[in-house]
Amino acid sequence: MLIELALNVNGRDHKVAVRADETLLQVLRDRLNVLSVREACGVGMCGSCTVLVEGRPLSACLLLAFQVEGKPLVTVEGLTPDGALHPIQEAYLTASGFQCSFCTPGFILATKALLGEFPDPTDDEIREYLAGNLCRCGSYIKILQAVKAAKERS
Amino acid sequence: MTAGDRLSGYVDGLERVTGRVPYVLNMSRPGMLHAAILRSPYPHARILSIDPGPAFKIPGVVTVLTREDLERGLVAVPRFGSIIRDQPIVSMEKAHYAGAPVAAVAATDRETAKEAARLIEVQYAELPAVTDIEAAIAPGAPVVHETLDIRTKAFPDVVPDQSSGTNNCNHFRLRRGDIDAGFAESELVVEGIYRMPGTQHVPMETHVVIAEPSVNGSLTVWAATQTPYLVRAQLAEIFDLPESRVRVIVPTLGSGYGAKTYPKLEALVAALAMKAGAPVKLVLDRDEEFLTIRKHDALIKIKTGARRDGTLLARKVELWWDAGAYADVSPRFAMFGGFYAPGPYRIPNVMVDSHAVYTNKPPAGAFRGYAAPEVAMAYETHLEMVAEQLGIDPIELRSRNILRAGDRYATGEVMEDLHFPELLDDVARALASAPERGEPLLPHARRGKGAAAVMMATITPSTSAAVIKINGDGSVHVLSSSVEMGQGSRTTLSRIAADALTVPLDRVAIVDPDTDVTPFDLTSSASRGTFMMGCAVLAAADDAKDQLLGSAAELLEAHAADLELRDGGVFVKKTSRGAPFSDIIRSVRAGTIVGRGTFTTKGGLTPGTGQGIASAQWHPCTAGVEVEVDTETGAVRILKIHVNTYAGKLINRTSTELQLEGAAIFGLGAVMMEEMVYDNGRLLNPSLADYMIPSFLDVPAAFTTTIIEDHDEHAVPHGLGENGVGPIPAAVAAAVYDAVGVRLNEWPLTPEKVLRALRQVER
Repeated sequence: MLIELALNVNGRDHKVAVRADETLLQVLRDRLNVLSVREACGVGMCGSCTVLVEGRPLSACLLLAFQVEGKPLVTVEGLTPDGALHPIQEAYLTASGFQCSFCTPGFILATKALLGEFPDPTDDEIREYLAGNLCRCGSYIKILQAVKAAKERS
Repeated sequence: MTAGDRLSGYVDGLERVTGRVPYVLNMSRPGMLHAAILRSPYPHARILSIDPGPAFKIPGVVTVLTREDLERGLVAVPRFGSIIRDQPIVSMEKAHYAGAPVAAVAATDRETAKEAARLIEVQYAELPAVTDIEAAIAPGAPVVHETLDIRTKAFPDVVPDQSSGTNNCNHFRLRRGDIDAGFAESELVVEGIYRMPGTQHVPMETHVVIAEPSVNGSLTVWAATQTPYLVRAQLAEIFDLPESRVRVIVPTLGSGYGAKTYPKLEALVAALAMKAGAPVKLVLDRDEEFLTIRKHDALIKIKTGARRDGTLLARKVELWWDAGAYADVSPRFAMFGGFYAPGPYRIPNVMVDSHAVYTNKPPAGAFRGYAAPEVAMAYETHLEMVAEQLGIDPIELRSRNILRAGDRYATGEVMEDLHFPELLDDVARALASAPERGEPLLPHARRGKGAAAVMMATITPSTSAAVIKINGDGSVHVLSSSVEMGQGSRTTLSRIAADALTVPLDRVAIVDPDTDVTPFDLTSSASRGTFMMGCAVLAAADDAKDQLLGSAAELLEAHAADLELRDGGVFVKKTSRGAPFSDIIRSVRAGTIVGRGTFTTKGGLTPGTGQGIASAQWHPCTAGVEVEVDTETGAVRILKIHVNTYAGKLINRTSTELQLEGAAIFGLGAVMMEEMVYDNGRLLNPSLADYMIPSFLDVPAAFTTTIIEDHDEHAVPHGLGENGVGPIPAAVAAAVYDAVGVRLNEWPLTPEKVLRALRQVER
C-alpha cells in the first residue's frame, strides 16, 4: 500500500508514492536519488544520514518520510541555489576535513546548523555540537579547522 | 597546512565535499535485484535441512541460494579463502559461527529479500562450540574444521604450519640466539600476560557488492574491496572461468581499514546473480558488518631477561590470535604478530611462538595496525614493568635498547631508516611541555604521562604494477589498481606522475581499479600503497620518459642523452629548444605513449626459524599521552596526544597528517572503549548504539604530530597509514599507571576495570 507524499527537497517540490513505513533515508536515496545522504548505522548514532529539516539537523534513518511532509529539507546537493560551493564546503575543501568522506555531507550539514545557532562558537562548543557525527577515519582535527575557517567565512 | 603548499589537498576533494563520491553503494544496474542473507543463530551446528519454499510465497522473490546449489554444479569450488579454502560461499554441512551465511535471497527490492530470507526454514543440530582461545586449544576441544584445503603457495611470504594441535590455523616460529643462555645470563627476569578483545573496523560504508553475469558466461563485479586482483582470482577459481572473463571494478571506498581486504561476499553475490541470471546488489546492514570480519582477540605472554644496567638479553613470547571460524588472512596475521613480538629493541636471544586459532566466532582478518597495537600493548607495558624493577626511567630504558640504523633485528635483517632516537626525543619534549600540566579540576583526579614505541612492517615480498598513458595532447593517465579509500592514493599517485613527467597536476587523471584495464597490485593495505605503487608509477613514468626522449631526439635532431623533461615537453638541456609532448607524439604518429612499471620487493622469512627479511621497509612510530584519572569513578580522560613518525620522502602532507591522526584515534578507540562482547559465541553488541567508536568529544584538544621527512632527492616514501594506531594503547596504559599506580594488562581501560584495579591497590 503506497501513500502519496509532497516533499520539498532542496527547494524543489516532489510528489512521491511511498510505503507508510519508509524512512526519509530510504525515500531520499531510493526514490529521489539523493545519494549524499548515507546510512552507516541505521540507529541514529552516526550522523551520516543527516538532513536539515526546517534548518535542524536530523537523522533521516530515524524519520518516517510522512513525518516531514511539507517541511523544507536540505542536503548538501542543495546548500546553494546555483550548485556553487557553499562557504562551509569551501572550508572543508581547503582544510581537507575528510578522508573517506562517507560522513562528510553529514558533518557539513551539522556545521551549517551549528553556525546558524551559534555564529561564533568556541572550540568546545564545536566539539559538543558535532559529537553526534562520527568520522571513523578520525579526521576530527582537520574538521575542527574547517569549522573554524567556515565561521570566519560566514 | 599552509595555503598554497604544493603537498596539500586532495585531487578529488570537490566530489568529497559535494557528496558526489561514486561509492558502489550509490551504483545500480538495469534490472538489478537486491540480496539478503539468512544467518545461523548457532555458533556451531550441523545443518540438517534447508527448505527455501516459504520464501517464494513473498511476491518479488526471484531466487534463493543454498548449499544445494553449490553441490549441484553452480560453482566449481564451493569454498574460498586466499590461503586456506575453508570459507563456504554459504554454509554447507555445518554452520561455523553465529552469523554465518546459511542462505541468500535475491528479490526485486531489499526489504522483500530480507522478509523472504526470514521465512526460509532451516533445521539445525547444535554442536558444542569453542568460543575463546583457551577453549579452542584445550585437549579434546570441539573441532571447528575437520578437514582443510590448504594452498601452501598462495602467497610467497606465508607458509601455514598446522602441526601443533587442535584448531590450529597457523603456528609461526621465530628463533634467534640461545634463549636459555640469555635468561641464564640475566640478572632480572620479568613475566607478564596481556589480553586484548576483538574489535570491529566499523567502515562507515559497509561491504557492498554488485555482481552481473553476462549471457556469454563472463562475470562483472563492482565491489567495495581493497584487493581487486585477489577477488578476481578467487571468483575465477570458484566459477571455473579464465581471469579474462572475470572483471572486478572498484570505485572509491567509504573506508576499509583492512575489513575489505581478501574475498568476503563477492562469491555469494556472484553465485546468486548467476542463479538469478540478473545483476544482484548486496549492501550489508551494520550488524552484518560486525558478523563478517573483525580483529582477533589476542592473548600474549612475554618473559624478558635483562642486566641490572638495563641491557635486554632475552625475550620469550607466546601469542594466540582468535581467528574465528575461517582463516581469512590469519596465517599471515599470526606471522606479523610473531615477528613484531620482540619489539623495536636489540635483544640477542629471542624465541617467539605465534598461533592463529580457529574458534566458532566471526572470522577475524586484517585490521588497521595488523597485530602491532596488541603486541605493542604487551611489549611496551612489559617494558614499563622491567624499567620499574630496574629503577630506570622508561624512556631512558627504551633509548638504551632501541634499534638504531645498522642494528640487526630478531629476524636477522639489518635495520635502516628507523629514526627512533629522534622520535623518542621528540616525544619526551612534547610530554615535558605538556600544556595540560597543572591542577586537575577535581580533587580526586590524578594526572599521569606515558609513552610507547612501535615498529611496523609491510608485506614482503610483494608486487605493484602501474601503466602511464600519455595522450595525444600531452595529458596523462595513471592506470593502477590502488584502491582509493580516503587515504588519498589518487592524489599521491597523481602527484608522483605529475612530478616525474613535469606536467601540471590538473593534466593527470587516475584510472581507478578495473581488473580488465589496470595492472596487478597485491593489495591496498599493509601501509604499502605510497611506497610500492608510488615506485611502480615512477618506473612507468621512466619508461614513458625513455620513449619520449627517443622520439624527441629525432624531432629535435639531438642525442637523447642531451635531452630533459621540462614543463610537459622535451628540451635540449639548458636551452629553450624543445617540443611539447603533443608535438613529439604527433611526430612519430604514436597516438599515445604507454609506459609500464612493475615494482617488486624481495624477502621473506624461513619457516621454523623466522629468519630472513620480514619487511622491505620498517615503519617507526612513537607516541606520548597525558591522562587524567578520576579515582572515584575510574574514568580515564585523555588530555593530550602527541604522535610522530618517519615519512621518508613526503608526497602528501595533508593525507600524512590525516592518517597519522586518524590512526592514533583508532588506537584511542581500542584502548578506551571498543570491545566485541559475546555470550556463548553470540555477539551481543553489533550496533553503534552498543559498540562505541571515538567521537569529537573523545579526542583531546591538545593533539599534535611530528613528521620527520627525508629531503634527499633519491629518498623514497615510507608507508605510514597504520603507524599511529600502535603506540597509543600502551602509552595510555603507561600514563594511567603514572597517574594512579594501577597497571592494566588489557584493553579497553573501562572505568569499571580501572576502579577495580584501584580498589586492589588501595587494599
